Amino acid sequence: MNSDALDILLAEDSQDDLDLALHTLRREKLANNIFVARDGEEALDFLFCRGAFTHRSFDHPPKLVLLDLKLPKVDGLEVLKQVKSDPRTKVIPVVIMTSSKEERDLVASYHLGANSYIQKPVDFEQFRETVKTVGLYWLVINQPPVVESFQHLAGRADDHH
Amino acid sequence: MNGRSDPRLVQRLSVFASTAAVFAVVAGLSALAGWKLHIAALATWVAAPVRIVPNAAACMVLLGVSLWLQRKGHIQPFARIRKLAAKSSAGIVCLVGLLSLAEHVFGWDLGIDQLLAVVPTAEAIPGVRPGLMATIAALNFLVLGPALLLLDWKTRRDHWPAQFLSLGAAIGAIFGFFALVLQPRASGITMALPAAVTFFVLACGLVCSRATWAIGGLLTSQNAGARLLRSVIPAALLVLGLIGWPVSKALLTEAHFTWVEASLLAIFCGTMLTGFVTWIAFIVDRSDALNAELERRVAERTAALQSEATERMLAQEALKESLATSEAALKELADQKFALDQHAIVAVTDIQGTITYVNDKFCAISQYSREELIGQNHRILNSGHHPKEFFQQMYHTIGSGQVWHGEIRNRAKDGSIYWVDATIVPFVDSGGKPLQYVAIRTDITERKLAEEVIRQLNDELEQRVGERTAQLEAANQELEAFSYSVSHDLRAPLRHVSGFSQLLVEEFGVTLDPGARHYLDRIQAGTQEMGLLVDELLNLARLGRYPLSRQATKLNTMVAEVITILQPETEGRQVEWVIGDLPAVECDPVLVRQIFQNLLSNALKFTRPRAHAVIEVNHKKQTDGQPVFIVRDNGIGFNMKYVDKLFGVFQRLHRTEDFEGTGIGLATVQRIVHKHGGRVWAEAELDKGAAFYFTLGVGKQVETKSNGATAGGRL
Repeated sequence: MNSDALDILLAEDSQDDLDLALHTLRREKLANNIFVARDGEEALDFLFCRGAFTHRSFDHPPKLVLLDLKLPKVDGLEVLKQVKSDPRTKVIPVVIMTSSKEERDLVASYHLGANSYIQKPVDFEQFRETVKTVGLYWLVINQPPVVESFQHLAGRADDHH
Repeated sequence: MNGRSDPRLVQRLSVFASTAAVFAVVAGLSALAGWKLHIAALATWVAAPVRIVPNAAACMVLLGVSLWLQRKGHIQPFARIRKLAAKSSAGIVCLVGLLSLAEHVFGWDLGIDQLLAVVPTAEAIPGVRPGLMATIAALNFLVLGPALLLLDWKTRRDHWPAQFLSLGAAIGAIFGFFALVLQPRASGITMALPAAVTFFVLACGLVCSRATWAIGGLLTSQNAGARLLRSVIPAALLVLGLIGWPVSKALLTEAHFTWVEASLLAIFCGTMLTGFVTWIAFIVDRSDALNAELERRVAERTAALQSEATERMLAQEALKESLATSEAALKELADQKFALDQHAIVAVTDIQGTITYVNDKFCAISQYSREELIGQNHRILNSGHHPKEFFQQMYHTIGSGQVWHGEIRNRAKDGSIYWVDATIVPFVDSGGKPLQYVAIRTDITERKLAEEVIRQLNDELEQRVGERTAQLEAANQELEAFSYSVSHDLRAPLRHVSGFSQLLVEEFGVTLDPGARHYLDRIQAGTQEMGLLVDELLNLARLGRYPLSRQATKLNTMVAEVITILQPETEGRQVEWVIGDLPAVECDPVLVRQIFQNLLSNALKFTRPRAHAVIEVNHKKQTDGQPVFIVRDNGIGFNMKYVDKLFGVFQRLHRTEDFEGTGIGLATVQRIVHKHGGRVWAEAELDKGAAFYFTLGVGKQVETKSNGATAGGRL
């Protein structure tokens, strides 16, 4: 596992949730490189390599996006929509992690192309178990798309590296 | 001359006929006796040389018998034998007459003359065989015999030959009498006096025996002619006899008439006289008949006139009666019209719609005078409220002879508006074509005003309902937003509390004293409980927002699945499930599964203290045929005085330490049942168990929209 490679983009506005999630991910040694976006705009800038992230390249997408639905500025569903409707980002696995158990959120998320939908359990033990399972699955078990084909699909060569 | 016979005369003549028959028999028998006993007087009667011969006497007897047997007027026995005897007698007489005549003419001796009694030669008339009857007598027998044979035979022209033969015999008898009296010397034609008399009597008797027929009719008829005949002929014949006797004597002696000539002359005169009188009688009779006809006609006409008069009288009576009826009907009609006028606004228009009659109420409500209205069209009242088609339809209906009914808004003279409930009745002719229209109306202005008020109130109400609905919808949206935020935001801090307290235990557990760790455990438990509560509350709230989706559902399958899910809770316990045969029902399977899950879960929970738990799921039919479902257990039950609290949210009848729970399960059950249009209730006894009953409504229920507003329903 390349240490430069970004493993997870965690879009979460709540510091508490963030702390608990990060604590769990680190404890389980699931992700070395985690980028945290505190709002939807930041998450989008990061993913689309713009704004403060123009130095980033589409060649190095995160292996997993953990997306909360309730985000400031641009909400999670909008982020999802943009990611999944752009050919350069659409293959990035996006897992919705939210407190909401609302059916409409669930339906909307899958409709927009979410790869998974997880409700954060209230019980911390369960929460930890869930995060662990998700990380294990997407970062270890799941075979991510290769960068070359990703670049090819992106439709343009990026000569950053 | 066939008038009606006088019954008294008929009776008398009938008696005479009988007497004549008896006379002939007596005369004949006495003559025969005279021969046998040699008493000459019995065969001559008077001091005369000529005696009636035995044959003739016997024939007289036979004729008398025949006539007697053929009398009329009495019902007599042995009709056939009598008739046979009578005809035989007459036949023998015919034969004897014929043979005797033949003896005279041909000079034969057939030996019949001495059969009954020997007639001495001394008695014989010179030139004539003793015992042979006179020629005239023989002829008379030849006439009277057939007359009696043919007594009741009538020709087609209503002639009775018997009676004419009798007349001939009577003339013969008279001739014989003349011969006896006028003939200077007895000869072969001289008849004895008894014979002549008997012949005459028999001839008369024969005619009289049929007194209502032909000549007999002449004798008994009540016609004027017959009466004339009866009174004139005897007198005429008497006069003729009185005059004729000396005249004939003179003729015989001085004019040298023979007795035959004189006799014939007398007979001729008598016959002529009789004929003449008869002719006159006919004339009299005809005029009498004419008179009678005239009288008959007068009587008929009178009768006709009378019956006509009667009829006219009856007709008049009937007319009077019908007039009375008509008057009564008119009175009734007038009364009804009065009654109608008291209640209704009445107008009559002709077929063009021109007003021909209005009653007072019409004038009053329209404020027009009668003079202003008559001759006008109803358009004068048009308020312009109704479209043209309204009146077109009305005229179409009544124009086709049908009754029209409707409500019309009219304008009175002063411009004020009034409403009438109108019925327009076309009066049609026999062909169904309207002749005029009668409109009967009722003032419904007040009702219309009231309706208007009601309509306005309704509108207001509708508006208010609309507003309220909008408010409710807004509130509902708020609630939704609220529950969304509860779902999202309320859970997050719980998770944090749970998470950090957990981390605290994990990372600093060794430095914490046991008391602190215990409190941290309590915090953990609290957050879990709170999480459960939030979840269930959200479930309950969500129920109201989703539409009911009914489909045929096999409840037995559903219950079996629920029991499988609950299986972990039964581990280590002895639980007996008693599942009845449940029907398939139309319901929302997702929600009804929730009902069973909650109820069965409760049952399991509250039977926990029982060593042997029995949980029954069953159903029974209500009176309307709908099933009631029952979930019964033998658990700890509850006190019925708390039954009202049972289905309330957060209501609990047991302590959490004993039986865990949020107090939302039964509230959810009730919510689902109500959503189905059903009913839920419970029966229990403390420590004896509990039973929950519910129904699921029927067919299509009013569904609740996802936004929570009450659907359908009109106010």
